[in-house]
Amino acid sequence: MSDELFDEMLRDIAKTLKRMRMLRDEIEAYFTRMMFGVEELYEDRLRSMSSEFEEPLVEIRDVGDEILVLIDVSGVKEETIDVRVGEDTIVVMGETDIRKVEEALRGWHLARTKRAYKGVYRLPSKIDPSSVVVEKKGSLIVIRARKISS
Amino acid sequence: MLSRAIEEEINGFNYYMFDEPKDIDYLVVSLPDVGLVGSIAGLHLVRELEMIDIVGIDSYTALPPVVVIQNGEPKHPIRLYVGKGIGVVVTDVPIAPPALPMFAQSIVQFAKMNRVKLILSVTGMGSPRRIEVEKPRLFTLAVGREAEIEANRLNPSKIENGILVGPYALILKEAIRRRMPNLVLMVESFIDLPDPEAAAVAVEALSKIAGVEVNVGKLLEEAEKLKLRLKELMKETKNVMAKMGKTYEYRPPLIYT
Repeated sequence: MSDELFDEMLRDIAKTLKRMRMLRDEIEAYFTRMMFGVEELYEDRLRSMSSEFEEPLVEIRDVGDEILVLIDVSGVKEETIDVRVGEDTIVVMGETDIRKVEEALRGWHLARTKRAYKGVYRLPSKIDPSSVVVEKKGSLIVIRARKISS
Repeated sequence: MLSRAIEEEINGFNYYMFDEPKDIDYLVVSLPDVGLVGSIAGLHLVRELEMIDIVGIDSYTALPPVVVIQNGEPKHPIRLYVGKGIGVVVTDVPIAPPALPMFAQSIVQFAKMNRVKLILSVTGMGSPRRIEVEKPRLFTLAVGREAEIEANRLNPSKIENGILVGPYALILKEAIRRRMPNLVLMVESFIDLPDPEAAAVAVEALSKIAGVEVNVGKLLEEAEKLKLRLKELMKETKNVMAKMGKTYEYRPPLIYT
């Protein structure tokens, strides 16, 4: 076998190895991206499990000259609900209705029940506290407030 | 139960079949999305029609490493329930955005392979004014003749322009590509809060299409209980929706006529 042929074979092997390394890196990057997305999903859950309070779900919408805030207080004792609205923050607190939570979550409540709910929500723009209207619709607290024009 | 299945890989997802998925005319895809409308509607159909899960769907790389335990039995995170000519795909975990294209291709291919007549995608259409609405409106988006016929029967509200984002957009595109009829049922709903009332509207539409009686009274009675059960899924879904650019749905498309 001539030296030239041997050199060519070595070059081919080097090229193939390089292509394999690139392919491996691409596959590794693909799976890393995928798993990163999955891990991130659970960060919030781990954070909420280590918190003293259960945080109510919230939906905050900017609707024209108004801010509309919907807070779901399912699982909170109605008579203990306390809502405080500031210029740019809303705080909601209340005691957990253990019976209701147990009934809904069945066995899972052992891991999930916390003695109180608390949510602190930052508003997307400042509001006029004198314009705040709070009402309850089913398990939702509905808060409407006029925006302060900047 | 998990060990007795026939395993088939379809586009990166493994299908574990405990029974043959035959005679499924309508495949309802109920994934966590806006207001969890699809998830709640799917859950209600499964409970009311006493459907049984015959296929487990999983992927070690695209889904979180979870096993769902039901009545002491391990289950796959995504499952296909069947009964009365209907199949319902439900998932206990939101599918991460990078895995969605693969999942959409996989589910449409599964429908094709099993001669499903129509894929029914169920989702919410986020409305900032939802709180003022007593009975949420139903909108449809149809691909294929079968889907158009069913859409017309429902007499839905008209949606002329808009942008659909997320798993149902991918399933729709794949359905177009593979000539699979797909009807997207969109119900006016809350965005970041579970919306059982909107899901009830979707269930009424689904029962009309499939020709089965499904009582939605229980769904409305148990609304608060459902919201408590679905709270964590809603939080995870909100996170996923933010990552896949769901806010595009709330702006008008570039071209309008």
